[in-house]
Amino acid sequence: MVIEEYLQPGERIVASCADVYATNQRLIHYTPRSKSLTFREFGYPHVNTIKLVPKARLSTMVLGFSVTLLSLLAGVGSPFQVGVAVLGVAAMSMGLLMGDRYLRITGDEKDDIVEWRLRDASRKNGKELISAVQHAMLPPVERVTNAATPEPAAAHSGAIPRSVLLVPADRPEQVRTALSSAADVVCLDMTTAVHSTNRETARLMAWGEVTAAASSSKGVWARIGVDSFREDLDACVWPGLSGVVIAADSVERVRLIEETLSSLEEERKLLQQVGIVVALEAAAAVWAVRETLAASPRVNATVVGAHDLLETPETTALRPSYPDPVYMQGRITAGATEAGVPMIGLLGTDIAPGHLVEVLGQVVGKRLAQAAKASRDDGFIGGMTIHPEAVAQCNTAFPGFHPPLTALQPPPPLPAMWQPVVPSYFEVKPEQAAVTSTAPAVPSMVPLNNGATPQESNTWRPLAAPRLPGIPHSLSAKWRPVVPSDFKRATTPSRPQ
Amino acid sequence: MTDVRRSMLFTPANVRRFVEGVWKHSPDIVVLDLEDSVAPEEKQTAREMVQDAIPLAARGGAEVAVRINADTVVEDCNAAIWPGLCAVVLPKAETQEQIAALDALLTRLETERSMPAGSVEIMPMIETAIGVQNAYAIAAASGRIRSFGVLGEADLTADLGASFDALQTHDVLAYPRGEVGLASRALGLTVNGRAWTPGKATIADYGDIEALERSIRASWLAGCRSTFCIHPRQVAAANEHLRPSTSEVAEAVEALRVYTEADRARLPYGVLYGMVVDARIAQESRDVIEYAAACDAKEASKASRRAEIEAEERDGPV
Repeated sequence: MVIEEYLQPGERIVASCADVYATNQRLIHYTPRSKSLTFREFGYPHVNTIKLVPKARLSTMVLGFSVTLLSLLAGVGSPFQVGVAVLGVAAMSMGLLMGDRYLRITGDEKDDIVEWRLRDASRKNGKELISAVQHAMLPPVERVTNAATPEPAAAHSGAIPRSVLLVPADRPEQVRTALSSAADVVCLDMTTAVHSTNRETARLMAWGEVTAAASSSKGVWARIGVDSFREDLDACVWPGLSGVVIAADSVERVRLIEETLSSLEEERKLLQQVGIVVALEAAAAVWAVRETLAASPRVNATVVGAHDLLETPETTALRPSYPDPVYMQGRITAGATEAGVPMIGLLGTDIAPGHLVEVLGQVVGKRLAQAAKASRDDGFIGGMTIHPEAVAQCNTAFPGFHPPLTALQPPPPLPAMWQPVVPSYFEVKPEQAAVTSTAPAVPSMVPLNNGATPQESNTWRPLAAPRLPGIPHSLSAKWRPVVPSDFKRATTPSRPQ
Repeated sequence: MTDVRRSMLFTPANVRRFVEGVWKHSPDIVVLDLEDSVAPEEKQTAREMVQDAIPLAARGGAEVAVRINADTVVEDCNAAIWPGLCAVVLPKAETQEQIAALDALLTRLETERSMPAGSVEIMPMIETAIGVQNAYAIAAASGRIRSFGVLGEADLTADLGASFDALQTHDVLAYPRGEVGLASRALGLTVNGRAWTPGKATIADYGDIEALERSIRASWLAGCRSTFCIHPRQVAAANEHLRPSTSEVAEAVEALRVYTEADRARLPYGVLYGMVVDARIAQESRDVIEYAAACDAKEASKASRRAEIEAEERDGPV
């Protein structure tokens, strides 16, 4: 079957290069084989038009013009000179009429145009065509230079999703479905959900999927491999990506990811920093949980197995775990809280997609809801799942980020007899009181948002403790518990009125 | 070949009758004890007997280890480190310096006594609060430590001021168990020890055979690979239950088949009973199959050695 048979009505191929075809609607990666074929598509968000533009070949024209001019300057006499002049004119005509073809890609902005010469397209790798389109989708230079520095990670990635839907990055149809689901974040899985022979395809497609997701209302993350993190990051760090999920198990690994992310962000002019989501998959990671999560300010969440869907009171004794799950949960919760990183729970990732009913029975909705609720009770604030059916339960059970509280006003003062008794060591100092009284909204939200409204940045971190500065291997003095020297309440009322 | 060390039976080194007959109980490792099962006045006798006890204890095809005293490490090692010994069990391990010193001592003795360098393992037992606190440092202190996670439950409960009997109803050692287990896994060591289950199933209280088997089964499912025993009944339970069951092996074979088919079809995972069978599960399945085969081989080797001894005893020495 030829590629034309796959085109939609009104769709036509504008250019092709190796096995990548640019149509006026999408890029298609099409490889027919004797028994099967590979057909992948890349959408064009932020690309308005893509068309073929013929252009005169300037070098040939200049050459022809020079030859003609020289023969004319020598004076018209011999037939040889006439012949030379005719040749020059012919070369000029060839340059004009048989010029090169260019693929012109126009982005969102007026000046956002890229042209790519197709003269030797057939010899080029399909990746080049993709890079040309990728280049067209980078933000215009003006926008980048106006932004003084990239926004800090906290301002962007503080958004805590209630539900993260994992989809294989080499299945664009599933990505498209996920983008129309109710999940807060779509996470492109470039590792375990992709067969090893398809990883390169997944990398090729990541750009199209990231940009498509960025133009939707979803956040987009990518789950990358520990051994292939450089290739995976190179493939997926494009404007729109807000987080990468990686099974990092040490401070060094997190720092390496951070460095690679920084250089890619700079190279590709990303406006926002990409956050790091650490998946705790190995015992070594759990052992060093606090240090690993505090290794970089970019670490904005950790993913860990949440309440086991298969676990019921009857089966708990049959599925023992060593170390004890209570110990493990305590260690992870304490480490994550100390590092100021919220926990997102994996939900039902042992069960194959489409087999929930087979494994859990007809009460699958109830079981999902119970598991999400139990995970919420355990301190998780979001759920990551491979089951679209579980998204609704996650959205219900987890707090995620709350709607903005713009109109919140301090309540009127209570009568003196109803004033709450505040221990002296909790009392607000006068200078803090002054700052608080001028803040119009919820004070704790202001510094996290960098002055932006919650709708713009979704930065509220409801359960996370403040992040430790730097890489705290030992607790700094200000993190020591405050023990009042005197438990007696101050006799003089110093509470601000 | 995968080490199979399901049951590690303590035998007092000073009672020759016990050492001679220990092969009948068929443990995977015989631990010649110089510590708790030897009275203080008998310690010197035990040290003198331990060199001859090593080949006797190994007769039934078991490996032989020795448990030394934490306060007489040098004397005990001088007496016990001889060819044929596979490991030294160090009770009341508390610091990494202790392990480093023992490592250096073993290195010297191995050289002096023409033993392969690094052949004697160290198996630390965590029996004090300080040991729990330093668990990771202890386990990481020497390359000779290849398995870790054993708690001396009786001594540890005493050191923590907890009740040993209370272990029958709830796990008063949940935190130490978690700490040593996680340290062991984080360092990629084989996990020894026991998961907690209710009932009379501690090392010292094994009266309820059902509770004992349940406890050892739970330990296997939780990932533990060996346990100390003080009674033959515990050895039999450990040899039977601290290994993949027939149904587990059948399930592993099926999972491997499903994954191989999926891999051939270029799918990232296969599906078995609705569950994902990915590369990780496939590797676990391979491990289960391999370990079951290793356990069978160990049993066969011990059975043939036992048959030889029985024939020898029946017919007299050849």
